[in-house]
Amino acid sequence: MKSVIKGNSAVAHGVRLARAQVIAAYPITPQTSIIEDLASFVAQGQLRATFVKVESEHSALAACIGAASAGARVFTATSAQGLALMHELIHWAAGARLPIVLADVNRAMAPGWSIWTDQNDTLSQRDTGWMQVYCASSQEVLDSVVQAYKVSEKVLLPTMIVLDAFFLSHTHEVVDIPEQELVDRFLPPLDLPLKLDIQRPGAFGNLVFPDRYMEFRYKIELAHREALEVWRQVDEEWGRLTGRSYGLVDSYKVEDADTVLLTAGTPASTARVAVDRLREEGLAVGVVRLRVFRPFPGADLARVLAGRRRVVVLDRNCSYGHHGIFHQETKSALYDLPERRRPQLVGVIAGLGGRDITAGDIAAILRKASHGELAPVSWWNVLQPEEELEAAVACK
Amino acid sequence: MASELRLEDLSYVPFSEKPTTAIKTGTWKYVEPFYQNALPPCAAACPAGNDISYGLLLLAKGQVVEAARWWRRRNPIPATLGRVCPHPCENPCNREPLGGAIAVSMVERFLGDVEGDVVPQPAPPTGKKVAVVGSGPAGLAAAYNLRLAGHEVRVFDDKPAPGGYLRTGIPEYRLPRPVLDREVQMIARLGVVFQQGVRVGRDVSFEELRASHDAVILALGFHKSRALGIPGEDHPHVYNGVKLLEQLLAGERPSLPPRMTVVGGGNTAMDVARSLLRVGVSPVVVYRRTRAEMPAIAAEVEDALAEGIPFEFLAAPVRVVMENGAIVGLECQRMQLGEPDASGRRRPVPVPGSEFVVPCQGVVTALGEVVDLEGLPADLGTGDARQASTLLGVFVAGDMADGAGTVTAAVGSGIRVASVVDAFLKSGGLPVQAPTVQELWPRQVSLRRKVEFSNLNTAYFRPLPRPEIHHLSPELRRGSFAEVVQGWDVEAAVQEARRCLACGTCNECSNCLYFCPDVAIHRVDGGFVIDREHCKGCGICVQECPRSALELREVTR
Repeated sequence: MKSVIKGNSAVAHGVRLARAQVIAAYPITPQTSIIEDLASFVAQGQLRATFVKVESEHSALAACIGAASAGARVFTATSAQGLALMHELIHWAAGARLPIVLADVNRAMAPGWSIWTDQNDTLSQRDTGWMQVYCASSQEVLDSVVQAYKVSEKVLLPTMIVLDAFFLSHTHEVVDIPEQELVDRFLPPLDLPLKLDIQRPGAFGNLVFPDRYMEFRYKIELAHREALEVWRQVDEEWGRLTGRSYGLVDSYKVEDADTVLLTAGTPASTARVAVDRLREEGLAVGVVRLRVFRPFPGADLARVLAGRRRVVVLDRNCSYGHHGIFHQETKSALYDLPERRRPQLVGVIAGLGGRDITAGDIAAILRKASHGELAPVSWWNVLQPEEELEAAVACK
Repeated sequence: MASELRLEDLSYVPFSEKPTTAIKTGTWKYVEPFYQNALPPCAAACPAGNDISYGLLLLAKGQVVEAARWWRRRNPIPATLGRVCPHPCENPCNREPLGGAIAVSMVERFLGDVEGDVVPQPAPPTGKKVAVVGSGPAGLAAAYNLRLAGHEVRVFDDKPAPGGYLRTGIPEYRLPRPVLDREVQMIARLGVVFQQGVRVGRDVSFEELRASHDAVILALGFHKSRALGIPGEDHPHVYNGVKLLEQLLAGERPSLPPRMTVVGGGNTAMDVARSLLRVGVSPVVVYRRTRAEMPAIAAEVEDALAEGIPFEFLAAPVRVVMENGAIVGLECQRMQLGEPDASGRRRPVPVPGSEFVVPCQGVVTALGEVVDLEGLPADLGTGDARQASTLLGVFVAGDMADGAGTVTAAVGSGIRVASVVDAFLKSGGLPVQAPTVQELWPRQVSLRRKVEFSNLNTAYFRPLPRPEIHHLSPELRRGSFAEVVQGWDVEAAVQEARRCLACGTCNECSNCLYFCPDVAIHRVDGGFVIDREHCKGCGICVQECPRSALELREVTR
């Protein structure tokens, strides 16, 4: 059924259709309406789940870990400081190999206080062992939640579904909400191989000596490698059922492009408008959107970007002291390409703390990039000292 | 070793079926919890030493007779106290902000009225004899506790029936006589001998009494009224409040003037005024301060007002106004409140030229009472910290000792003196001071630690409203001495006991056990034990105990 709903509602519908059994969450803007919708589904009997109110995000994830350990399909949602507060348990959930799905509405970290979007909150959790999916539309959000349960439960790793604050979380779009029966066919009930069982008392997450620890960590790595393929299959299966699939890497007008913009999240949709505009001007430009970030689809990226002249990575994040995080990651993916097929790579940091990234901005960035006028790393649309601006232009 | 192990043999997640008990987490701790009941604020405020929370805990479990027996362990007159005590226990009740204080007096009254096996057994005879002079609340409590300790106890009293002021000064609408009679009988049935109509110093000499007993306890109470000290006081229609009350309560109905002023603001004044109303007289209360300074029990003042009794506050009698030998009024002077006096209340100061007359045909004085020591040695003193008089083996109790002026305090005084006398009879010596009533509890409680509201984990308590207490309608009270406050049935009493937070009193709710992350708390008969080898001293049990019945202490190694 087609409905006009917000990105946050799309998350809630995805969770409802996945028949989550335990939801534990703590409110934080801009995530709150996700769990409000879920609470309402539970209250109205549209979702048979236990909704656990907790006193912090740390407890929210702890409750999810407990319930998942008992074999329940669980869900939580958060943003920014809330995700940071979960951090200890973010590691635990992955180490315990629990197929938890968490929606994070990307919000900038304080200080200064901000409720607006950027990606530093989720990218700070990059190395915890979680899978991460960055969405660009409400429909994709709903579909990704359902897909995430299937992948997580297959490879026994938790997944973070990521959506931009307000640009996606609070913007209404037409979303096709699948029938329950269809989702049930796609997603069987969870049956964890090892779960809390009073008939078989035991300790989970017990002390592991140096002679074993590394093996458990190696298994996490193996699961991530497997997950790349599972994501591909699950996405394709969903595509067969609904007509919608997204791939791990989503590209637009890249085949004949000279300059490609690579980004994640909603700026990728905006970039399509800019690309269409620049194509009319005669510039051969395209967009690549990184959808599944962990496991990292490095080979897919290399394949799609190989042979392009230039790649501009637009990062709505920054690894301070270095540069944009997707920029670094893309660079690592391209390193193994033969030099003649390896594109020139520049990085632009933009839109932190919710500063708008308009089609005009992206068109300007791509235009500059096409003319070789961008420095290897630059900050876009920010007050800068004069010499920085000069340097940015001088590199031409 | 690593070569023998294959990756496939390992589970995907660390999991062990071996118990974690091999890891002695107890060695990590530097503090450890221990179960320690603490003093609830109600019990701390109870002058009679009622162990309220534990009694309510038994009642909440439906153990009605056990609760009643617990209550009577040292207190011989709970049915009486439940009716006449101003319940200071309810003021600091931690339930107050969560629906209102527990109605302890109503529960005490219910438990006091419980029939059955509610009186403890006396200890084997000691062969010691004790004389108790006075059968008021202090004398009854002393007699009861000494009898329970195995001593032979005789009570001497000059009135026809035991009870002292309970019988002569507290009207039936507050304390029906069958209630008092039953409690006196329960004491007598233990073997306490009541010798009524015997006044020491008149019918038997003090020295005789002292010679024939191993100890003597004087618990004479305050029965002698203070005089007004104004012109016209000797008129026959100026009555002594204590004596008039005694007459009325004995069922006498002297011919009284139709309108009478009652002078005073204490319990006697209230009892006199309310009793007069019940025998057809219109009383007016004259008090030299305001309602806020009245020493009377607040509930009694409220009841008097509800019954329509007029009050003339800030008025001090100057003279009795007479015409042709008959009283026509009481001339008073208007007062205003000045600096606080020794009692902490603001001193009334006369307003010059403010005289006015309260019309009446009779006056009753109720200005407070003092002890009447006629026939006793003059130099007995009022007792030291042990309630011992200046004479060896002679002790004092009740108002004589402390002048506290409430039945409850008198019971507490009787309990304490009994403990001192018991020690004296058994050892021949005296303790440095009388124990507090709480120190006599058989239950092990940390008396140093009083449980405040902030010590509770209120997450576990929902607000629950204090139940209604029904009073006889004021219209039905005129001309009748029927009991005003209506009692509760077992259901209401148990319900109220369940509302008790049981501050500092473990009721085996098991929260500690549920929350212990190390599974180091185990249930045993009558409580819990902490597995010290595995308790790592996190303190979660202490935090999650709703009622502060656990403490943390430093571990010394």
